Amino acid sequence: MPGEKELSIDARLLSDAIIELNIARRNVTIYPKDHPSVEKSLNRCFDLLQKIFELREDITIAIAKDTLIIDEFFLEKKNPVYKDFALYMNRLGIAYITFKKGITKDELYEFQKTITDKTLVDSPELIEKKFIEQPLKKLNLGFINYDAFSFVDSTDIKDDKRKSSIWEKYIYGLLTGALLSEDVSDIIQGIPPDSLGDFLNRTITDEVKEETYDKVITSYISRPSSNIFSDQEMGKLNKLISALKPEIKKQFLASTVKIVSKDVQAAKAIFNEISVDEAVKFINSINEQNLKIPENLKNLIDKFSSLPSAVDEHFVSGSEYVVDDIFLSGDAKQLMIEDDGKKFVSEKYMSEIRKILEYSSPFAGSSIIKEFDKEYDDDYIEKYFSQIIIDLLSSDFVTDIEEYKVLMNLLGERVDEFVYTGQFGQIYQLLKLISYNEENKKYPEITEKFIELFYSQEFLRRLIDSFRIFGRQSREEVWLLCDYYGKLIIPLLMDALADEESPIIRKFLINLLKRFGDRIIPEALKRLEDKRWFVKRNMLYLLADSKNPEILDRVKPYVHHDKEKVCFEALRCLLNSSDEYGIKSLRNYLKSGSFENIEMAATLAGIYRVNEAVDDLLHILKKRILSSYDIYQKISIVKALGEIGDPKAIVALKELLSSRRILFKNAMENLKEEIYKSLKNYPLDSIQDILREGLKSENEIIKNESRRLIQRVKHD
Amino acid sequence: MIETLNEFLLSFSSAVSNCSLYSGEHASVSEFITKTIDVLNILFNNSDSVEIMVIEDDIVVNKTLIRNAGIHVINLMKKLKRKGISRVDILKGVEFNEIKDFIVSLLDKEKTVKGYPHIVTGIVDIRLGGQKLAEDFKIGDISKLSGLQADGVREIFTGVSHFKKLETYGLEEIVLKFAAAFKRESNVLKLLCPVKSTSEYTYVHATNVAVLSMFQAESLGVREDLKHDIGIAALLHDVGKVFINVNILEKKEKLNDREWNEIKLHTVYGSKYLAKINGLTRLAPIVAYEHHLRFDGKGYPEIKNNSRKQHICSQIVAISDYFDALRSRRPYRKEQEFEEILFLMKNESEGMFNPFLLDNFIKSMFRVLSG
Repeated sequence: MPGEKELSIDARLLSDAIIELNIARRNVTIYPKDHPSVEKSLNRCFDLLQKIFELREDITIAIAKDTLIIDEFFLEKKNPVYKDFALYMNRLGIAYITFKKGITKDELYEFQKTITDKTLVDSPELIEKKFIEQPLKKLNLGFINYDAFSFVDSTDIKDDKRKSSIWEKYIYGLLTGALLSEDVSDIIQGIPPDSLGDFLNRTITDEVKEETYDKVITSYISRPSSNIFSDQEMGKLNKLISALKPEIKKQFLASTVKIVSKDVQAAKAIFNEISVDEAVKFINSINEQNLKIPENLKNLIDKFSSLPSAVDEHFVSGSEYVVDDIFLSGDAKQLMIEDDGKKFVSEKYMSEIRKILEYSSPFAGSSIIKEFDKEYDDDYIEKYFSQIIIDLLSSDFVTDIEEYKVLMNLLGERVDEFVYTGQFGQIYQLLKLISYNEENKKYPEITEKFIELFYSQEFLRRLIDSFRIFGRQSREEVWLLCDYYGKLIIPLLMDALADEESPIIRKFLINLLKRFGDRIIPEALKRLEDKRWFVKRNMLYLLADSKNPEILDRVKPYVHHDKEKVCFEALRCLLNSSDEYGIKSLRNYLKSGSFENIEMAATLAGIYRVNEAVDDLLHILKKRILSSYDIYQKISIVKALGEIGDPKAIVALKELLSSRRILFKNAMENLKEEIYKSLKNYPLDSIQDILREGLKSENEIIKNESRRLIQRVKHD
Repeated sequence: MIETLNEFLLSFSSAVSNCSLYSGEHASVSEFITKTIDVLNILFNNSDSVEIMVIEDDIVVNKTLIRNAGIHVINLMKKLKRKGISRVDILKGVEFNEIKDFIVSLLDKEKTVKGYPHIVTGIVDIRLGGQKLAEDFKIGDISKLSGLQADGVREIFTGVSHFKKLETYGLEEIVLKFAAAFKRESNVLKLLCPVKSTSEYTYVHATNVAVLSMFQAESLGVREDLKHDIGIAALLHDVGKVFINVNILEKKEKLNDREWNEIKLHTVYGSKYLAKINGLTRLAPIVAYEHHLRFDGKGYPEIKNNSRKQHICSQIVAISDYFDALRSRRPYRKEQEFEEILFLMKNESEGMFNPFLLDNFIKSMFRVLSG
């Protein structure tokens, strides 16, 4: 397997060539082929490759995510150039590049040109296709094949401890041709123990590393991801070990215990006394450093070290890195230097801290306060984080353009999430911030980019989609945003209204649009031309509260629309402005003889207190009662007259109240109740005798209404 | 196709995020699950399943790497990883309630994810073996393996040596565990060094605050990974002091208004500094910003959005910060005994701390130190 060893000459040459390739990649995107900068970097790269080809026929760079591997060597992981190169290739889906003897500068250029082609870089499949269709003779590319990442079923996934770097494993498999399309463990597991034992006795030599044993056991007994052996597997393993030569038996036993570390006791019971000889190379490195750990840091280490997650996740992927990256680094050494901790922390306090460190909660892993769980959630933490970034950006403390850019980009990455989780407050604050910066010409380039994003139709449509889902829970925040966008968002809200199927959401959108007031007029008038009747109705509904005279002429034609609902809304618009045409149309409806039309017109006459309609209403009220249907129609008329409160109606009302009927008795009683309920707007002196009669009534509703109104008279 | 995969992931991860931010019953969750099913049905036209793989920090859907996945997708990956899942296969025939139940169990802090008829979870692994082995290897005929084949097998076995688990003992183990703990945020060490160089006290204080905060987290039953993050955030809570004039920071006399105002800026400096660092827990900038806010909303820095309250982790660190400041010894002030401080915190700091957390801290401290 590859490792971070000293590079061979050819690997070193290729690592230098990578630096040149990386420079060339950048130059190729900016300059034409014959530009000196492009030529220079390609020449250098080419020369280095020629030197390599003096030593060998071909050389391959493998890309394990952010790490480059040449033969068995990992290139310096921290080197930003290698990392940049690796990540760029990984982004294009490239797993390895092989340079072959005879490669030309043109091929190198063609390679660079393709991998930087803006039309291709966002679609790696196109790059792969291009290289397959037009292969370069002496430069071969291998692309990541996700088929090699196989599914491992796990019934108890939580206990999985497989933490190795999957990319390194993939690349290793790729380079050695060891990637399997079917599980090797399945094959090996089928071998009888004595046959495998026999094979191992003959195959395993001194040069074999101890890890071999681990792998044999994990492959033989169970899938590599599982740590727990069943009795059956243990028995099988026991048989295998019995079949081994004494000199390799010990190593196998040691490995077994190590692998079943989760259940060491069980393993011991089976294999009796097992001596585990674990030689950990890097411990020597630490000892050689002769590092002393200050007390306070040791305490901290104790605490952190008690967290299993911390340990499991990081021990695994290569011991050398832990040592090299952390303990041999200058940063770590500085922290290890004995400090003046005792100056600040008394012996007594230190002993208290030690006791605190030993504390183990009985509630471990089980939150005692469920309300807090929400705050611990990643999404919630992200929400907080975004809020703090907005706070920072809104403060006067971000003055450096680079800093501003980084923080704005952090927010930019989150805008979609704000939309999809209904965080309208965050979007609003961000918008305000950007507008402020735009007005003050602060960081124009960055600001412009955000303005472009926030004002794009696509963004606004997504925002409105989100309003539909979350809006009713955050009405004020939604309104702040709508108000902020103003005219720009109105057509989109109207589109959403037209398409919306849910009556609840339609109502929400209508209320939202109504809050715009007269700002919706131009768009609403435009949409009156829409062929869909319900769009016309919605627009008329929105216009109905406006007293703007310019809408009246546009609305009039709809008073006689085929759809009653459209007529109703059109009439509302006109009556709201006391328009004569509207009143005339209303009266016509009252005279129409159609129950629906009369019902609609009566309701409107009442809502808009159309005095001009009183005679028409009275005419209907006075009509002879032939059926209970007539009585119910009169209820609408009584209500409308009651809203208008014209004393002209009193005589007719008294007549109805005094009528005695054998037929339709219940309906008539309902009508009388409605008359009493409708009296509040009439001049009080005109209804006093009605009220006195009401007090004598046996009908409780009538009596109560009368009493209530008389009380009011006294009070007034 | 890539657009459809993106759309699927976006809907699915949004359903998960909204379930986590609101609840499983929130309208948004149903909306996004419905959208997810709509997109799945398009994808099912080409295959009987949709596979999601989490490979380190990448997400791959139906063997296609999804680039520039948003925060929701990143959070989805974190949630899957936390449950030990790196592969989810959604099979044709999946229904609304199955997806909903899966999401709810994914978010359940305590339970493992159950199996569902049309949602299969597992892990991703690389199968190593080698073509030669696969082609030539015959079970029961092992003794006839050629030298080359045997070499192949040996190579397979030795090949994974790089990935073996390390085991260490004693002091070295602790040191390595510390390194391992910080490996995830190796920057933490880089961040702590300037703190130590700037002010030895601030550094020692930071380590104590980290221990005390993790102690609180432990006593509250906080899950392990979060406890780690709280520790990191507590360790870095005062990192902004690196940007404050050392003379002011170390001044033994009383600070004047100007100096005091400068000191107060360490919260802002710290948070904006930490916010820019990739890979660091988001709690670090949050806690750096809020640890001098009070439970009653007072304190500093002044927050423009008054409706937002201090994050629970900042509240935890604020308690540890206060306690350690009084328990530590300074040239101009003698340390106080822990009982005195706890008494003071309980009786003379109204509105400063979350009363529940404070009670828990006091009880736990007495239990541990007087028990």
